Amino acid sequence: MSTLDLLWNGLSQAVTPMNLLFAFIGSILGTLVGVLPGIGPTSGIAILLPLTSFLPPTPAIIMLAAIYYGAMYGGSTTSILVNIPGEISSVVTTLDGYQMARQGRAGAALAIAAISSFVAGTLGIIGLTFFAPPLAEVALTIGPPEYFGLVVLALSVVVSLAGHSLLRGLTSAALGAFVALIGIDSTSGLKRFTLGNTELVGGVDFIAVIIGLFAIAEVLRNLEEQTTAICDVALKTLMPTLKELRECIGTMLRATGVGFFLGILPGCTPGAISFLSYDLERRVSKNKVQFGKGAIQGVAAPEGANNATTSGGFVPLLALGIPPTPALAVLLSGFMIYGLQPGPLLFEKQPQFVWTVIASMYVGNVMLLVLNLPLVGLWAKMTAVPYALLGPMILLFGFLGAFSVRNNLFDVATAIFFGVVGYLLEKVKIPTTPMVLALILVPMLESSLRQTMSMMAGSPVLLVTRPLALGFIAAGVLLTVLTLVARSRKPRDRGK
Amino acid sequence: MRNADRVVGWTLLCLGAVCAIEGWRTWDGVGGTGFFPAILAVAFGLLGAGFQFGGTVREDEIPILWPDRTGRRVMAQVVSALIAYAILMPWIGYAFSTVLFLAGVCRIIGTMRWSYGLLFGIVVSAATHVVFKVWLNMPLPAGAWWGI
Repeated sequence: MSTLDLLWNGLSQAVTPMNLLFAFIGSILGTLVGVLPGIGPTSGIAILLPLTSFLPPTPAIIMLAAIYYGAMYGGSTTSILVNIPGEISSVVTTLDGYQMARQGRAGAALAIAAISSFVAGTLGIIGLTFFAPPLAEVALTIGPPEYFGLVVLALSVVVSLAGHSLLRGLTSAALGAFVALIGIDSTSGLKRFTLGNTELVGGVDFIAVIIGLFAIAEVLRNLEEQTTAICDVALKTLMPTLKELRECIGTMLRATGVGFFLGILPGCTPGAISFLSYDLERRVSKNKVQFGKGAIQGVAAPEGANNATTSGGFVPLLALGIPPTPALAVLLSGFMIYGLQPGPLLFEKQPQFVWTVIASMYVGNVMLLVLNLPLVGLWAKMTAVPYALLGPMILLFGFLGAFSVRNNLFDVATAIFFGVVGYLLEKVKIPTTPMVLALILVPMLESSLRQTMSMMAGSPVLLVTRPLALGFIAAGVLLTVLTLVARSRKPRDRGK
Repeated sequence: MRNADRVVGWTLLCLGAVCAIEGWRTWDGVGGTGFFPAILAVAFGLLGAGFQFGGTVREDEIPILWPDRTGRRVMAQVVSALIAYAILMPWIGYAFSTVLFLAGVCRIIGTMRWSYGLLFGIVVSAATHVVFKVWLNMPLPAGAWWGI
């Protein structure tokens, strides 16, 4: 049977009333879980896994997959509306999404997030449908040296996120790296920067840091400005204009490419991928200055990449049984509960199951769009709620989000601390986004460097002898140099 | 801005010193535990020097606008409320501490009457209790003082 025949068979199974119902329930639950700060896709699937236990395997996995991509999408809502990134991959969406909300364009931002997620998610599933096994094989050839190169490439984004002053951008990144190093070193077992505090041994959780830097610091800024509502101008059109949609087509396609192909690589986190996609978009945009001030492409790019990553992640999961992200590792445990072992044999032994699940993703993506577009108006009205009510709610949800990560109050204290730090950094014009990027990337950089060196008896020579690794590093250096040259030439046009 | 830059510069130099000590303490070769702290020590040293001896751009001329007295008071009260909330929660439980926190912050931010603030706090506390504690099974503190 050809792939199309298999897909058609899967589709006929996926649209049975029962499977449709569970895809629908999964999409709703996933979106709700994604909207709640701190409860990202990983904890969302883990919490909701028992709900599927009474179901046969196919609808159960359909529901879990729907929860996963619903949660990946849901994170954008709070990022755009109240500057709370529910999970790390939504951090970039705050940069332009929240600015759009403040300008009365929350509806358009939410709509483009939904549309971009749909387009990129669907294109990603097409990639999954036709290229899963060969792409999974390619992904397996990527080793620690290539990851190191990839992280160097991603770190080059710091220079373009630095804003007006490179010194301040690099300072922010160094602070992020410092925070990332706090805790026990998993290789040697030595503690770093813990000051004898047992709570710090496990490290500083990045969700608590981003809730502090974004949500709490933003509330403090709004208090200072005596904000009466997030959006104190009349709400503008709820949908993006046709011109904006046309401008975003290229963005969505690029985001799909970046998200899908990097999403295939195990360990390449959605957070880093959304940063890369945003940076690429800013580099190719004719209107770079608008980025960070409410550019619609600045919302479409990370959201599209985020959802394409979701589809890309299924490639190694289904084809090889390797979960590339923690969320998919939990999903893999869901497979195993039902006695299903993902890998090459799954396609041969359980073709109907695999293709029904893949087909259900197409259905689920349509469902997410249909579910979320009508809600855009309702969500957008939240930005007009008096800040005297919304401010305390943001603080409460930030508090709950920080607490939910490890169920301890230390993370809450961390969030409060970083809230004050974020406010002070903004005062001295140090941007916080490079700090978050370094917080994500430095642990990956350190572990990939160590693994690379352990492959060659303590020598990092593989970084220059493996072509792909060297290519990534060279691309990172080249992009950094190009950005520095561009900065020195056009000091007045630099974006934030 | 120059004064602020100097404070930032000194802070970074102090962080650099901390990293240098930690790098030296945990040093076990290139790529080892102390490697990244050592790199950070150098980075913080350079960045700190950058702030101390110039190198910043036009923002130097823009004065930092700190909040006025009322703004400072409101911000301090909100941060204090957050800290008090985190301290009180294990003792009086999620539900009760949330009511107090929301009522208090609504009063601070919006000068809302206590009665409305309490009503708002009770409704939100109950709703979030159902979602997070009952449905999502989050182990929110029930309150040591109540012996739960």
